[in-house]
Parts: sequence; structure tokens; C-alpha cells
Amino acid sequence: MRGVCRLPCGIPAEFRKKVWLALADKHLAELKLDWDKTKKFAFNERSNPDDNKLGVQIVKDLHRTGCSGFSGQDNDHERAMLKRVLLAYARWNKRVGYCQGFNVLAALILEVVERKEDDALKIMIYVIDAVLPESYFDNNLRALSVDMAVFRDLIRMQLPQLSKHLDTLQARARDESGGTVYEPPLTNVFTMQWFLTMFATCLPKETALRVWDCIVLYGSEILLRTGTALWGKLQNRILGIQSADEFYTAMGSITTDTLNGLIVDADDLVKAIFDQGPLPLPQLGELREKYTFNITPFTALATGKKKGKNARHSDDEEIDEEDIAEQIGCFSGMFPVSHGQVLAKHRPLNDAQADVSKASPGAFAVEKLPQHQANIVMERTTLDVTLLQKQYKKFAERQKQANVIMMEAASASLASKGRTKAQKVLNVESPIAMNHLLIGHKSSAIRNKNKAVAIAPKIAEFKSTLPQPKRRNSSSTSEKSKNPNSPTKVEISRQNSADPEEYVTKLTYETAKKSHTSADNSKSQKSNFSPFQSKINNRVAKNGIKLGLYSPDFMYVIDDHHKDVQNGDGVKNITRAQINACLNRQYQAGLKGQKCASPI
Amino acid sequence: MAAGPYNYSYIFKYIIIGDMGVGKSCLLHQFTEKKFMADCPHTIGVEFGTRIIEVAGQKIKLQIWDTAGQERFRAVTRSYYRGAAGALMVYDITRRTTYNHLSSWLTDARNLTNPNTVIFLIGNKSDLDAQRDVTYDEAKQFAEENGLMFLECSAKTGENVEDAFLDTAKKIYKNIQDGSLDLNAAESGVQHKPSNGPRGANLGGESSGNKDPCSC
Repeated sequence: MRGVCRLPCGIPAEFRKKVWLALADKHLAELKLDWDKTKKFAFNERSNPDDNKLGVQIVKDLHRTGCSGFSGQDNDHERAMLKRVLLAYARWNKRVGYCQGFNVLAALILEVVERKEDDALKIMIYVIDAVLPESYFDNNLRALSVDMAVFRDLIRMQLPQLSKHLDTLQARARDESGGTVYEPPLTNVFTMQWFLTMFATCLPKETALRVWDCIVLYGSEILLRTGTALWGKLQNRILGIQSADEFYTAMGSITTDTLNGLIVDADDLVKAIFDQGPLPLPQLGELREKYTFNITPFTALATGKKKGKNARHSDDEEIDEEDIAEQIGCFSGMFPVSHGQVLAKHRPLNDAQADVSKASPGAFAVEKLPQHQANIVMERTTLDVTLLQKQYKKFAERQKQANVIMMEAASASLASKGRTKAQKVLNVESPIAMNHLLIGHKSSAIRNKNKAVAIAPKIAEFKSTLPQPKRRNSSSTSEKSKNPNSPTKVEISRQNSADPEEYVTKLTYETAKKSHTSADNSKSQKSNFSPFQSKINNRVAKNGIKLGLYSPDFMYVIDDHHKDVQNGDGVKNITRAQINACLNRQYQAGLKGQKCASPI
Repeated sequence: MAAGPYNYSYIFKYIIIGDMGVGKSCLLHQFTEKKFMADCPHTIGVEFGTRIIEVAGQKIKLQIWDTAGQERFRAVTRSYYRGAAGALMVYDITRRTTYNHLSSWLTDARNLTNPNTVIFLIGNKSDLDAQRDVTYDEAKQFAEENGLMFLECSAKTGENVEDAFLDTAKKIYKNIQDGSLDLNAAESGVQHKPSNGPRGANLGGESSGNKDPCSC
């Protein structure tokens, strides 16, 4: 199916529903849910304490969905249906609840599933909970902010000319206002809309559906790629623009044209999406992670009193990076700058260390994006240590609470038969959940560092090529071999040598970790190294939330974007023969360069 | 009209804030299109609109940023507050909760804009007087206590909508004239555009001869 969605015409409309549903079912199956029960709960007509407020919000937006054929504009029946689905999702995932924009998503989904509400709910759950990164729609849209920043980096790499031009316009506005940034990055306003509605409000419906096919099959990275592809198409219209104001004005008509299909052809767009290098993009996870922990949301601004002028916006951050990014110059994923160049650039700053990396140039050859990673590694060292300490304390405390609650829950469930299910989930999966918490948000830095051990030879080289204010020793390889049994600890103690404060943080972290069972410990280490483990943890943690075990605040960890989840085999409801036939048809149509007539 | 899009001498940046469903986008639409859109799609994130107005014989382009009202969007919309010359803070006269949240909106507006930003309080949906939940007098008092300009408007009928946007612009313009709004200061939210220039430049003062600080 993944192949099909790339072909001209994409997945035929009659298969779309099956494909989406199959993926959603697979996700639900992994959650080991009793779907009938869930459905009953979610679509329960009897109101639920939170419903009133939710309902008001949803109803307010119902008549304002205003997109696609399924608009609910003057159809009460459709409007009621939309409301039920949105309420159902909000009940299912209380943490996310209802976010403006869901109505657009739900309307499109309802249309695809031919208005079957429970199917729509399934797909909503799959798309929002599993496909898109965690916190895309809640927690102050944190993950969305992250993706907006990541997206700017991608644009910088893929469309350097456009990016430079936009930066110039932004900087010009800044210069003219006396040097303080008051113009947010120009792309943000559009990126935000595009990503929040998954392009449903900015592309013609058929094109949007094609993009959605790719998203459900390949994951949220497609959002970023579609965005890049779109800017690529718009670039020519923008390069001549002379001011930020002019840009926004021009974008007004450009977005209308895009929505009316005057700018992008669906096949072109899909092709552009996949022409952007290997999928998944090797550096994407790193970028997302970097911004997740570097972006301090604007909330800080609001609480502080008139910090305005000094406060550093998340958006300002990219200015620091601009220098670095400029050194990268072009899309380094595709055309790695030779390490010699990189060395030359950094040598004046860090002569001795540069020599070290010179000694083993192979490391660069192996890693596709040395500069970028080095970048990221460097950024991490600047993480606010005290902040981490605070977060750690919070987590440790909650950890204890969760422990107590779990024990109670487990014993209670023994007593009541009705809760066997919950017990099962608890007993089987709670250890992982526990250490998910441990390696959670706070310990991000540690997690990253552990990762650094896992690929120590490479990372060590990057570090050594860059100025490292905090870290002095980077001879991780040898140290690691000294103590092969406990890589995590070694890594941590190694890091400790650099910064006493960090040391304390990690020491406490280590101690806390030790207090758990050894099995727990080994698992925790394992999860540090495996990208998939944390995915599972995430899911377990979600279950935990649903069971009321701990608060959603735990759920900061970035989703690993289920690289593994959907492949062709995941689509079980469709027979191989059907897929093959479909593939054939599409392929031949593609060969002939014809538009295949897929009835929509 | 000969100068095309540069046919104005200032750009004022506005933001519109307030709870969800109070009619922010409708006000904007009424102001820019002079029409009421009953099924105006809700704002996702941030949207913008522009209109050129005339104040004291000067053409002024209003660049208006309309923000999503849902609480969770506040973190991402805050970056658009900065550098606003005018802030329209909207509540719904038929829903008291939207009025009660004003202080939080005001805090945001004050913290994130400059001291000279003109904040205009708008009680929207004045056509629904029968369902009124907030009296004119108490809102007026709130506005006076906080130094805000105030009007009740109806995006539906268009009543007072023009006035709200224009009065804000007049006040900003007056601030420029009497020098209390320093265009050199960061985040003034005002750009001066010499009508013959290729692009905007900040005015170094109303009488400044050098209008193009960017020529280096």
C-alpha cells in the first residue's frame, strides 16, 4: 500500500477507507482494547461531567467547520454526527479533549468512512494518538511548536534560497524596529494551519486526501515534507517579495489559489514529497528532540513581568543557529559537506580536538549528518541543568506516588473480578511504564547521552570537532570498553567529569534508578538504546493514564513516530491479490502517463 | 492608486484577542470585507487581514492579526502580540465568562506589547441585546479603570465596527504626532512607508529627513 500511495492517482477511493481502517484497527489491537466497550463509553449519550464545557466548545465550532463537502453548514444531521464523533474522541482521550481544528479532521474522516461514526472515531484515534507526535494538539501545542521549528530547519536545508529570503524579510522588519525581533518567522502562521489541519484547509480535498494517505502510511514526517514541497512550489512567487507585509498580503491570494488547486497538482505534490531524500529522514528525530528540549514556550513570557525585550522567544533561538546553519550551507543530508571543511571551520576554535577527529575520518563517512548531529550535541550541553534537576525531583515524587497507586490498584483488582482486565495490563506492563517515567522528560539529557554511548565512536568525533565549553573528556570509547557491563553508568560518570552540577543531577537519577528492581534496571537500559522500546512505553503510559494511574504530565516523551508500525503487512483486511491488482492498475496508468479514472 | 501596494504611509499592526467564539474573526471580516459571515470558520492558530484606512489625510495600512481563542493556542499565538501597535480585546456581551476572562487577556496584552500599545475593549454581539449578560456600564467602568478604549459592537450588523478599528488607529496616530509613541523604539508596531520607496522603513521621527535607515 505504501507503494500505491506514491503512484499517480494514489490509493483508489474505494480502498482508502479500508486502508485507513486497517491501520487504525491494527493500532487499536496493539492497545488490547475491548473496542465495543470503548465505543459504548465514547458514544454514550448520557452526559459525563466534563461534557458540558466540551460540548459548548464543540458546538460553537460545528457550524464553523466550513471546509470540504462535509461542512455541516446547513445539515443538522451531519452536524450532530460531527459533534458525536468529536465528543467521543474527547472522552476517549481526555488529555487532548477537543482542539480547534479537530472538526476539520473529523469532517474529512467522516467523509472517507462514509459517515460511520465508530469508524471515524477509530481513525481519529489512530491519527491523533499514534500518527502525529504526542502533544500536537494539547499541552500548549508543544509538539506543534517543535515541528514548526524543525520545519524551518528543513526549509533551510531543502530550500536555502527561499529560507534566506524569508529570513531577510524577517530581519528587515527587525532592523527597522530598532533591532528587536518582533516579526515571528514568516512561515509560522501557515505552517501552523497546515499541520494542525493536516492540510485539509489549504489543499483541494482530493489532494489533501492523497497527503493523508501518505501520512497514515508513513507517519507524521509527511506533514513536514508536504510543507516543504508546498513552499518549493510557491518559492518563485515569493522570492521577488520585498517586505514581510508584502509577503503576508501575497500569501493571502496564494493560499486561496492553493486551496483551489491552481498551484499544486496532487501527483506533483506526492512526487515532491517522496523526492526529498530517504524516508524517514535520518536527522528528523534528532531535530525534533533538540527543539523539544530547547523550546521554552512563550508562557514564560507571560508570567514574567515585562520581560519582553530581553526574553528569548523560542523563535529567537533560531538566530543562534543561523550561524551554524549557514556553515552547513546546503541540504547536508543529501550532500554531506566533507569533514575537512567542517574541521577547517572549527579549527580556530578548537584546534586540539579537531585533530582528534581528523585521526578517524571514517566516523563522518558513516554518519550522514555529522554537522547536524554535532550541532545538536552542542545544543544539548547548554540545557539548563537546574531545570533538569527540578524536573527530576518532580518526577521522582510522582514516581513514588505512582508506585503506591499501582500497588493499591493491583491489590484492589485482585479483589474484584470486574477489573481483571486492568490488572492484567498493570501486572504485565507496569514495569516498563515505570521506567518509562524514569527515562522520561527530565532525563532527556541523560537519555540522549546514553544514546551517545550507543553510538559512541561517531558522536565522540562530532563533539571533538566543536567547541565544548562544558565537556573536556571525550574518550568515551576506551572508557566504555573498560566497563562493558554498565554502559549507562560509565557514560554518566564520564559526563560528570565535565560539570559538577550535572553530576549531582545524574547521581540522584542513578540512585533513584538503582532503587528499582534489577529487571527494571536492565529494561530501562535497553529502552535507552532502542527507539521502539520507548514507543511501547509510551503506549503503556497512555494506558496508565486511561486507568488513572498517573497524571498526563508524564507524557512528555516524544513519540518515536512508529517507524515500525505500518508496513504493507499491516493492512490485513485487504487481500494480497487486491493490492496487487490495484498496484498493477496504478502502475500501468502511471506508465501510460494517464490519469486513471478512480471514481471518487 | 498609482503606487500600488505602497500607496500608504504607515503600517499599523493590530492583534485581536479574546475567548473563543466571541466573534473575533467575524469582526475582522466585517471590517475588511464589510460583510457578516455567519459561518465564519474558526481560526486555527493565527490568521491575518489587511485594510487601508485614512486618518488625518494619511493613508494607513492596517495589518491585523486574528488569533485563535482556545486556551491551548495561547502559547503559539503569543508571538504575534509583540510589536502590535493596537490590540483589540473582544468579549461577548451575552456570555459573562468571556468578560470574566478579560483580565487574563489584558495581562497577556500588557506583558507582551509595548506600553504605548493602544488596547481597545470591544463588547461584541451588541445586536443580541435581549440576551445581554454584561451591562454596558460595568464594561465601561472596567475599561476606564484599566485605561482602555471601549465600544460595544456588532459584527453582524456592523454597528461600531469601523469605529473600533478607526478609533484605535486615530489614537495610535495621535501618539505618533505628540511624540509619545517613539517609532524608533522597538516593537512600536508602526512602520513608516515613504510612498515612493520600494519598501517600508521605520520613521526616525515624524520630521525625519532620513527615511531609509537601511541604506548601508
